[in-house]
Amino acid sequence: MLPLEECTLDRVEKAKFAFFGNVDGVRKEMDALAENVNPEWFMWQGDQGLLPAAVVKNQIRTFGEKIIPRFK
Amino acid sequence: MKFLFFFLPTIPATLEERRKLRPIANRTEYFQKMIDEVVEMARLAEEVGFDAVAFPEHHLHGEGLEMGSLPLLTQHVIHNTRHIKVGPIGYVLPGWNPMRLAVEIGWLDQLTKGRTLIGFARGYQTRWLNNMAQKIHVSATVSDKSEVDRTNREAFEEVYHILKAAWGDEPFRYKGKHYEFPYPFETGTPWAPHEWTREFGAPGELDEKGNIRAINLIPKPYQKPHPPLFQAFSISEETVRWTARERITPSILISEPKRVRELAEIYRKESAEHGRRLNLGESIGVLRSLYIGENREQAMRMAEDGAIGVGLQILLSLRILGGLAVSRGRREISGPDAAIGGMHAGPR
Repeated sequence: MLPLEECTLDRVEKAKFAFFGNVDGVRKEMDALAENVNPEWFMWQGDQGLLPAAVVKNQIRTFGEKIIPRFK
Repeated sequence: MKFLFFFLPTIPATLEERRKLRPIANRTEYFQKMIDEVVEMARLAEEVGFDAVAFPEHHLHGEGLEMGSLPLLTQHVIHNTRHIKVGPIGYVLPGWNPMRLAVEIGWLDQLTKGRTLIGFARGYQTRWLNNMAQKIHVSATVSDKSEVDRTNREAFEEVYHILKAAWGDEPFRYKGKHYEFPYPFETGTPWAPHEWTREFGAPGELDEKGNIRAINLIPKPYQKPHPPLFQAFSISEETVRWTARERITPSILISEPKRVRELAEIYRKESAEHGRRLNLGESIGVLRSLYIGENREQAMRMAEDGAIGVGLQILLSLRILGGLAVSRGRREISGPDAAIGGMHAGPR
């Protein structure tokens, strides 16, 4: 069992489970994933209910408009 | 690449509201707000180019996190969107009577004209699964190779095989440790109007005495032979090989790039050995969390308050991170125990 203090978002990011950044930064991580295995399905573990709906919607719209087209 | 938005239907509220209104999920006005938001998110995802929306199956969360997902929620979202696929990733199979689930999915796929997808999971949350699966004596598992884990896997595979058999065109018979169809298996199920069935029912459904000797599940899925299949959330090589053999798309939770590549190669090789030639990455899903901000710091702040931040804390309390998740100390993250997930991350 990991000590609580080791279970951080930094670790999640370092392990490449999560991508945190601006559009360019996230796109770069997506490029690396596509280059590595090019998965048929990218499954985004998203939000709803904890963050305000407007924030979540903005995330979905940004991803859809600025990142998805590159991989379609 | 196809895109799937996976989220945990959650009562929209701050932590302070959850504390003050506990258990917030008992409150209809909040529950309704959640249903509305789930539909709003699904509609937006569809509008901006996602191919699918999915939820995990969890129950009894009075705290208002991880609600659903039942076929009913899937149906509701499908009927409020236009073309995306919707479904759970996944149904926690040990918690379902397999015949009941096959019927529910058949109806769902027919009602929605083929817009559902199906995920499978083994279940890691004791609060609801131990109660729902009590009659077959199955408990939630953390994939630790224990007796509990072994029994859970046994029930999972039994339900899975029954589903596959039930969706076929021919009536099926099955005798396992937990279930048998027909029931009783040896003598068949008494059926008074057997002459009617003999004339109009499925060939092979009856024995010579007029007992039901095989089950002809109705309805069959709209999609043939069945809706697309996904496995939630794959971390072991054993699981990846199994999904390849069964033509299931694994949702890979492992995150270290070298290991992800290895698993993708294993999937492709195992598929080829079983008659399916695939390109690297074909038929594979990769689950990741992401937050987009003006910069990394802003994205991190959102993550702290969002599903991944709260999820990490809850995962810790569920005591499953040790098996799933982050490497310790300076050890590099690799191998089958090196993935990081959100709170839904039931390992297989």
